[in-house]
Amino acid sequence: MSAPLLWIILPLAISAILLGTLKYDRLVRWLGLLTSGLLSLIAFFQPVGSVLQIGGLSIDFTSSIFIFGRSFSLENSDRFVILTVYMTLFLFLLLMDHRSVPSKFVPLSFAIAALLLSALAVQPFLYSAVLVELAVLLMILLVREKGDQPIEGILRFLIYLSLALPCILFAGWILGGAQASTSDETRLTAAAIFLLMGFSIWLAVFPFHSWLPQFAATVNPFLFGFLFSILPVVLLFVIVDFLSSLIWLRSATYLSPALMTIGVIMVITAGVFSSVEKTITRLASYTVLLETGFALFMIALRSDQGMSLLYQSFIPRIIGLTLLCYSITVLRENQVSLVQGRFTSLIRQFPFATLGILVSMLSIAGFPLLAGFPIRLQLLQLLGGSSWLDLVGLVAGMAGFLIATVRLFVTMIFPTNQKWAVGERLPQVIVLCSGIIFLLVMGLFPKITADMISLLAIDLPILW
Amino acid sequence: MQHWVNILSVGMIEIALFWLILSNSRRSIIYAFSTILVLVFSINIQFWTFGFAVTKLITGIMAMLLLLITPTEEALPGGIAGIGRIFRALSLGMGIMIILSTLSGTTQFLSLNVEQTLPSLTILWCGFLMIAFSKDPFRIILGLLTLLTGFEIIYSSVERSLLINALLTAVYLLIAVIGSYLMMPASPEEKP
Repeated sequence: MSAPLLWIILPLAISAILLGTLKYDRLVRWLGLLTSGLLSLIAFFQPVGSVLQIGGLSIDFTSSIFIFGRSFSLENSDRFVILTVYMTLFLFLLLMDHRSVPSKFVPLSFAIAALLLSALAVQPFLYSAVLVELAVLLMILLVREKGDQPIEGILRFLIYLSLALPCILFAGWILGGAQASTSDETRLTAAAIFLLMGFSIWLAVFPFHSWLPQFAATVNPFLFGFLFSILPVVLLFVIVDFLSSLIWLRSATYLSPALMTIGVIMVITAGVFSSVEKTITRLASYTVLLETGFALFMIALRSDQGMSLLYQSFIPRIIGLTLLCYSITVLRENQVSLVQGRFTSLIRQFPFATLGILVSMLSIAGFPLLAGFPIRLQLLQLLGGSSWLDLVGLVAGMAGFLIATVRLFVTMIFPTNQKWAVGERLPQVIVLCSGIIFLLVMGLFPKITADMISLLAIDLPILW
Repeated sequence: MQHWVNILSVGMIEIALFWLILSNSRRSIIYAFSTILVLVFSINIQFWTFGFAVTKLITGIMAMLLLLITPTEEALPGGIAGIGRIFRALSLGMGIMIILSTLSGTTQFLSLNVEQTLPSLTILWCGFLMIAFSKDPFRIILGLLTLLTGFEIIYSSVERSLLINALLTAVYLLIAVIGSYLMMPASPEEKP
């Protein structure tokens, strides 16, 4: 038994089986929950390279598998991202409501998760571009719901992410030739430019970001929440693995400032655009930009502290986005218009969904006592001594996002004569309250998360 | 060029690219794209193995047929007016001029032959233009397929890994499947 067989091939096989049994939607969901839960537990407890004990049976749990001459390898350092992906899948399957989410979500989400993990596992890393593209194509199958649904955002998502494929593959080919002689500056520069373009499109860096808000406005917010909880996380790890595997790039003096500049640009872009945004689904997309910008900054620090912070940031990021998207889904299910002008006094009709939106956005903005705050504070402290300009940029971006949250808050709590009511159903109230409490607890006791993650973040990638 | 016949093939590809970008009807676009696929095959077969080149041709034809048989709600929106056609033709023409003027440098950089570099770059450029100029899903999907066709001429010449080429073929076909899925009209019960 090998790790890629367990976390890539098996979920793909399960996805194929579940696709054939879609009419039994409850069974499909329970099977999905069971599988994703088991895969998460194995990722948490079972080290790669050791013996897997199931009763009296002992299985050697190796890290690699060969398919058509290419190696797929998942090491202990990848267990954190495997756990993140399958835990997120488990969480979304748990929250899934058949009234608002199509049943194809279960099989397709397994296939997407497996393909994204295979992108992380494939050697050499540049081939991950093709696997990410395949995952993107499955994402489109997932988000297309009805024949009359507008498709401009989906098409733009397809175009941009398909454009990243030739860029990264081409860079890989150039690097293949240039690796032998690292003194060939022209080829290395060309490879770096193509890589930069490919990664920028993947992560929606300004000016390649326009597909993200459009996509968010077009698709079901629940599905958006799932896709953008796992896609940027896996892509960031692919990039980190990639940086750590190329010595000439790792040792390049321009790498750190370049990543920091891209990070600042992303945070400022997210802050500025969100502060003037009126559609809440598009606002959700700017949270993705903001978080990715901060993540790039943590990578750019090229230190153990930076990488630990990156690992720690994923939990508040995913919980925050999940709560935000779930709250929007509740409003959408109740036919509430998702444009800010229609939100006046929304708290009187949907108090829990409104609170869910506000708390998640405040957490993402780094508001004190919420889950995002300790991460933002540590990052700003790490940066404080080195770069004041970057620090100002980050704070400006956060301030922009905070302005967006306050604007939303003012509209939502605006006093009117409307009577108080609870528009959400009881299970929704429970989920929303749990999310809010979780973000509060993580903000009040940040060491719990840090300790949990430190168990898995032992083999950090080498970036310096 | 390695053989004088390739001058003819490359020239015909350039003409087919103008045909592709200026076409107003779905049928005409499909014919233009088929012509490009066959001409690209005639070049690829000289540098790749027969099986490899045929696989790429069959994949292209399958993708195209998939788009052709998709029941769509309406004809291509609007068509291209006179000034629009001139603008598209000029954009493609200028791109080809730029590619021609830098051809020796790019051919040397890519370590390929002129008959591979010239069609691949011009097809890539045409794909970009189709994506950039259109809002219609059919043209956008065809643009993406055109772009990938151009890219594959270069990439498959340098990368012979079976897995990667199989995955690229899967991507090519899946884009056509997704395009077909996106272009499907709403069923009567889905219409508001």
